[in-house]
Amino acid sequence: MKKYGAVVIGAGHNGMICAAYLAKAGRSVLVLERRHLVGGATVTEEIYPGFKYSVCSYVVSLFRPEIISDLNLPAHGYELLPLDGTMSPLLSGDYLMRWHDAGDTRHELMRHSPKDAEAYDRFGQLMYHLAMAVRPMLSTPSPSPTSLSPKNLNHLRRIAADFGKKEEYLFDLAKLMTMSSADFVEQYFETPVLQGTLSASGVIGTFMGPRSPGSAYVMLHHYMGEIDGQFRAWGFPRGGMGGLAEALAGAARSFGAEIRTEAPIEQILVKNGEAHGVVIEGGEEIEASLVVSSVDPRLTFRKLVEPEHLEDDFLQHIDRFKFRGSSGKVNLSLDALPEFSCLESIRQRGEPTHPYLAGAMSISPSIDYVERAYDDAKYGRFSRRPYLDIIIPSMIDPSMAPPGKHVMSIFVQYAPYDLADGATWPNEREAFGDAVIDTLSEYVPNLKDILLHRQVISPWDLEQTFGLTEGNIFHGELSLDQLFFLRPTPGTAGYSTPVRGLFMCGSGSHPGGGVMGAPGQLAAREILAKGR
Amino acid sequence: MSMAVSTTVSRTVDIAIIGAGLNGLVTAAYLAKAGRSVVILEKADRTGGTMGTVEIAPGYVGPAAIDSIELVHPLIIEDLELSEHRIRMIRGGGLILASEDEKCLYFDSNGSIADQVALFSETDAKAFRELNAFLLHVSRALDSALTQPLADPSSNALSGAFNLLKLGWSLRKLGKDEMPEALRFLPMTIQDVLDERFESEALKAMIAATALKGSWLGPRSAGSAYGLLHHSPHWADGLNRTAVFVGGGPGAFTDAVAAVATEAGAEIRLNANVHKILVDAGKCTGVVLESGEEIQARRVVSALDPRTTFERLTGPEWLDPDFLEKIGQIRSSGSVTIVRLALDRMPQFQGTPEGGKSISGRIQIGGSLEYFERAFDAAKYGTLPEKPYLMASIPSVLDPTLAPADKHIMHVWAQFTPTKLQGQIWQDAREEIGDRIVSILDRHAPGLKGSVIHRQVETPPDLEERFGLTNGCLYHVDLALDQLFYMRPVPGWFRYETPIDGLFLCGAGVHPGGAGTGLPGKCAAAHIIKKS
Repeated sequence: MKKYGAVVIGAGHNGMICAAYLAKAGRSVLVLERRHLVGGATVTEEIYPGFKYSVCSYVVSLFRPEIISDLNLPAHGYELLPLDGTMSPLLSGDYLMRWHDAGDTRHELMRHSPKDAEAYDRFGQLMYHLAMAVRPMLSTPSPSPTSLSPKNLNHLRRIAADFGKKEEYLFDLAKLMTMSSADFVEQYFETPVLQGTLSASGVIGTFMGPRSPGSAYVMLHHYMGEIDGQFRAWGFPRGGMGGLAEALAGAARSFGAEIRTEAPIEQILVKNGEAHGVVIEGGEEIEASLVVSSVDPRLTFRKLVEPEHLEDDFLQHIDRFKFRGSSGKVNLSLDALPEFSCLESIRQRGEPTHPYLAGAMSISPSIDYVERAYDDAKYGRFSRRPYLDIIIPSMIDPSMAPPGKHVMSIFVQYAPYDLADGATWPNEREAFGDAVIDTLSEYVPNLKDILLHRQVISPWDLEQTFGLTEGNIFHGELSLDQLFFLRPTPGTAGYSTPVRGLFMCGSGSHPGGGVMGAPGQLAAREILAKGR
Repeated sequence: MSMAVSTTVSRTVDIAIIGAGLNGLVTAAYLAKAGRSVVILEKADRTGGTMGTVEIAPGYVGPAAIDSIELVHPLIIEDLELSEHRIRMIRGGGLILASEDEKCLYFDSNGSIADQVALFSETDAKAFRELNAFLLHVSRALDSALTQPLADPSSNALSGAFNLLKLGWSLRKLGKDEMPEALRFLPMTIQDVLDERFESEALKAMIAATALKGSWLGPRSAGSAYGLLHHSPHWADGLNRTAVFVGGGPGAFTDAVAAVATEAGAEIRLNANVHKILVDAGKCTGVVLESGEEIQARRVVSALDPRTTFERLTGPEWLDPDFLEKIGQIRSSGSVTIVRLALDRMPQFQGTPEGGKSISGRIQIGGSLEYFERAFDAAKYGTLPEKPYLMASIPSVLDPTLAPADKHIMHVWAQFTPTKLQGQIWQDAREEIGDRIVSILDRHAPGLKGSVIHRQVETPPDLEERFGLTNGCLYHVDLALDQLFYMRPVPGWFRYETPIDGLFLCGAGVHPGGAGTGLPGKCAAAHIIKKS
């Protein structure tokens, strides 16, 4: 029987990135995927004939540019199409539009508040510098505050020296790490819809409201993508998110990696404290010198590794790692373009509304709106009036829908994994979908008339179909107590685990989730550095 | 510098201290004992500030806001020789904890709380002991950073990093397990801390009440775990903290500090309301009282909160706009309403042992985390909670000097009540919230309502007016992660100094923060002595 150098569990983007780097370094690598297609939560599926959905993740923003070049992704079909701007519609018939072009945005902000237009530049510069300050920490493994090894101390020293150069931002960074996104943006802006939309990016994928301290960091995490690729880094892969997955699979295969789908793992084989392979459901055993898990820490250690190989203390840490998914997704097939009531005046002037629909649309009229949506979730209900982050992929890539028709991707928050009063998601799913449609219909009066199909994905579905524990899209909350050397547990933030030969490379590891690719890349680097 | 009112120069002193609350007095006592000539200027007709004693009705006196002294650091008691011949310390009884279902639990202060918890849950008793041990360890590790000014990172950020590492070093001595746990703990929500460890909702509520005291955070707000550490320090025996009252009311304690200061040569002037801090060429030269009297001083130390100090007492002309912007960004949230009751008989709380002892400690109304969260929910939108959480005491049970024979006074601390109400003004709402609070008490202690002879309700705006607290925030500057340590009161100004040469801060708004520890005053004095 063939013995592999490495077997990677899960063909999500991080798994495939890790596999590609290992294969590129000459290891024989096998990637095993439970589903029938690669990509994990980065997939395109034709749920209804002719309509292609980026079922889960829907934009690329945080993706590490060096991965694109290291793995030569464009040669494997990867192409990023730009999204331009964010529109926040209001029920008053007005809207706030932030364009990619700084001058256009300024012009638009002047309409709402000259003070905010002024502050917007300042805010943007601060976020840019803070993101630049944090970026080195996202592209290296997290140092440990307890280890006194020369390597670790050197690492700490380098980070300290790095911050020394950015001293003026040190306190801003400390504030950003600890404040709520609402408090942070309120320092700069007075326009409610601008406050609402900016602070909402601090709650994506977390079980926090904009007024929860710690949410400002998530806002930075999302902002990061805007600076990385120089040019319009929020983008949409041609062919949907599956376009990225296919390119990664192509790259991995080109370096010699094998990828097997419909191969769910039953168990990670451990002998004398060392991993030596996996068992596929049905009993097939695959031997490997090392096992790399791209699934989340709880699945890895509570389902795939037998508890006898792990210490109680470690398992307690794993059990305390918080998931509690808070978001859902609604994908729509539309017979025509939605008509936002806030664009009525533009239509009346005979101007095209297309440019307003080619970016993101955010239903986040104020901080209180988003906070109230969170209040619902706190007590175990989905938001009656949720925060929505919308794109219309077919505006950007017409191949996503039949001619003249459209697909719409709606990211929804909040949808708590645990529902109160014994309610279950299979029973609540459609009511949740209704709440989303009803909310959006207030802004898009023709929505129900043009609606052909809808796919509603609850956090429970994210868990069932995509293996995301409790439906958390980041493989564990991005809260301060679960970041850096604490992600996922103290002692395993460096991708190795208490089981020798078993590594982690998914979003549950430093630096966390988003379609960023950093955990997969850094894990591969650590594995290779360790000579495994 | 020109003044609108005519001034008379009365005298020149070394140091003028504004405000004779606990921290102003502690600063004065340390400075006077170190040989400085000190004058303390207090606008009220008595000393003590929020830790004073006030008259409720003829014959009835009670605490102004802070009712007990167990959080005063023992070093201060020792340094200022505030022993038994000056004050009579009275150890309060246990805790009555009232839940929504009108059940009351009673924890006796004579036995260990953990032992009493063990009667209903062994798991919780174990968790209680473990959490307490952890808090005591961390609190001891932080002691050096709380009882003296923080190490000064010079202009070179590398040495700043070094100083942080030094603090890190004392934390590191906690060991490989507790140290990462401490770093994980601080930014957590108190709800997560408790959910991870405890089964009993009542026990969680008891601990959460301590964590949330005086804060503008709900149990689900990140950083609320820090509040637990702040309010359960090692010197108060951590979670086993019991109230320590002072014979004659808390004012007797601040009186004793005042006596130490005057015996060492300090002068205390009552009814001396400072109108303006005098600055000449960037240097502080003294103060002007409302009466027009001018007091020249080489140094001025403000025990008032930073916003009052810089927005009301110094002119903006000597402060750079960046600093003023930071001061303006300080979050000082009023969240507490104080209710003082004169009672014509002792209340009896349902289901608690008869007699005085059981009622001589603290009485907590609010028996679940959700109760706290809902109280905070209302407040964050500017409305009054239907059910505020209450922390009450009846110090007259053990101290008959506070009320006529067989009569009592009750002190109630109610949260969360916002400073600014939406669609309502406090003038109309004051008695409404007073009625609501008394009704809630009456539900748990039937007949209490009828026994109220006199009632005082002080809302956040009242506290602002009475004590000169911005927004009525008793802690001067919210205890939030972004406003602690090197960030308190504003980033970079953690050394009691200000941009105005010779002007210092010593109140609860500076490191290590309020709650009646006296530590800001002690640390400020240490720094001022070193500087002169």
